[in-house]
Amino acid sequence: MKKINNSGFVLAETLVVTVFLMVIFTMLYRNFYPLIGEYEKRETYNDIDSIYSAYWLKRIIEDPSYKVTDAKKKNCFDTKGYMRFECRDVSANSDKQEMCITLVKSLEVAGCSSNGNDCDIFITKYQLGGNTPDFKSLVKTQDDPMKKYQEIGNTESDKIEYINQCIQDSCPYCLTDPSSVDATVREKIEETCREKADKKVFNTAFQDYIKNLPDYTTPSLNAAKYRVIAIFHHKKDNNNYYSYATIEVIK
Amino acid sequence: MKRLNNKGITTIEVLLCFVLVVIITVSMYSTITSFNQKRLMEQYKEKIYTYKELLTKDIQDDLIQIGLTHAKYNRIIVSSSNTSSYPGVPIGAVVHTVDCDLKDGTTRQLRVYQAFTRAKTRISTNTAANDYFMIEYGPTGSLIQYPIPDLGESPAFPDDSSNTSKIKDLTINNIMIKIIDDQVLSIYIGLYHPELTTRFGIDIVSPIDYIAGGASGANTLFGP
Repeated sequence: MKKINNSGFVLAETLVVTVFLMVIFTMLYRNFYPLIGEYEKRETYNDIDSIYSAYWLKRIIEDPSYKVTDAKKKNCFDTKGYMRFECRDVSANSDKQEMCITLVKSLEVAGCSSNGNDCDIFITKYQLGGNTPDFKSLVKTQDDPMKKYQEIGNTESDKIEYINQCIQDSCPYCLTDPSSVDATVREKIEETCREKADKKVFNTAFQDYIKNLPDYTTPSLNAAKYRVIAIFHHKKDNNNYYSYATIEVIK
Repeated sequence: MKRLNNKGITTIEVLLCFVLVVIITVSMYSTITSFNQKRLMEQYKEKIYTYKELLTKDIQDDLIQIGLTHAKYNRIIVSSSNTSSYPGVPIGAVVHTVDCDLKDGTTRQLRVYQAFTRAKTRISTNTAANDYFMIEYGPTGSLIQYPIPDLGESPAFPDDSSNTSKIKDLTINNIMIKIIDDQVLSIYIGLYHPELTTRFGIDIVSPIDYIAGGASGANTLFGP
């Protein structure tokens, strides 16, 4: 009769299997855990507050009082693929420019100067990817990220123009009547504007948001040709977080 | 007849197995506890999101679809002289009222009631847990109640072990209502939870008397 092997596993074999299983579980855990972070990040994408905020921005952009020059339009949409929303583009003759400034402040739009300019509100073509210029590709460019002053142009004079505009927005008298402003304050504003000029236009969090958006290759049901993408910096009630939203613009 | 191996396992082997089991259990315990806590928090967040979205949508729908022409904000404290106007609301509670006149001639009213008994901020010397938080919204005279979600409760006075009163964990904490230059209405109702902090407040912003071209008046300045 055949002799059955009843010796079972030796301790070493058991240990090897246990270690092997622990390694597998650890690897699984390490791969699974970042998904929670990803989920928490996405809670701030198109949440209800940001969507309604983007809706009111869309209403201003759709309003006839919001006008941009042909040169700006061409430079923005044909070259860069987007245009930054600014309250200075809302007709100063109507009280809507003043309302625009109050509204962007109340909506806590990120990046806005005190007079509602230079806001992190981007008007793009309706289609975000797979077209020319491709906004999604532009945002995710990592090698040579676009700096803020480069929204005007790539030369040194463009940089100076950006800095001067920034100073003008933060302190109207700093350029026209420098002696009326305290030297320390003036220097601080100039320093802040110089730093701002070299800042990246699109940060990593925004890149993540844009990466998660669809290309919108199917035309809009409302025949919208443009889209507004906004970043909000929530600071009310000691909060400090960013949220993002996009909505189509019928214009 | 076949001879059975009756040797069993040695003490060292048993001990090693115990040690392994203990190590695995201890390492898994903290992970599972933290995941369970996370699950609970996600459940709470879900409840707050549902509540926040419902209320925000009801208010914004009126402001967008009908249009806001004028807004008025009022803040009063419930006292013995006016308590009859606020049945069921404890004396000392703060009532924030926003009257929104709409373009169709009707008025919507938002009321936020806030009364604390928490040790640091309690409004009276009584030791009963009568925290009261309520949001009401609707046409004036027929307001609909939006009770804030129930996300557990804690001792009302943690320093006083003889007091067994409990209060709800989710509270209306910080209310900031502003009408800026008669141009923008901003309503912030901060919801506070010890674990979730103030992250999930209700934030409603709307321009006042906004007359726009909108989609119907859209122009083609951007070109094709």
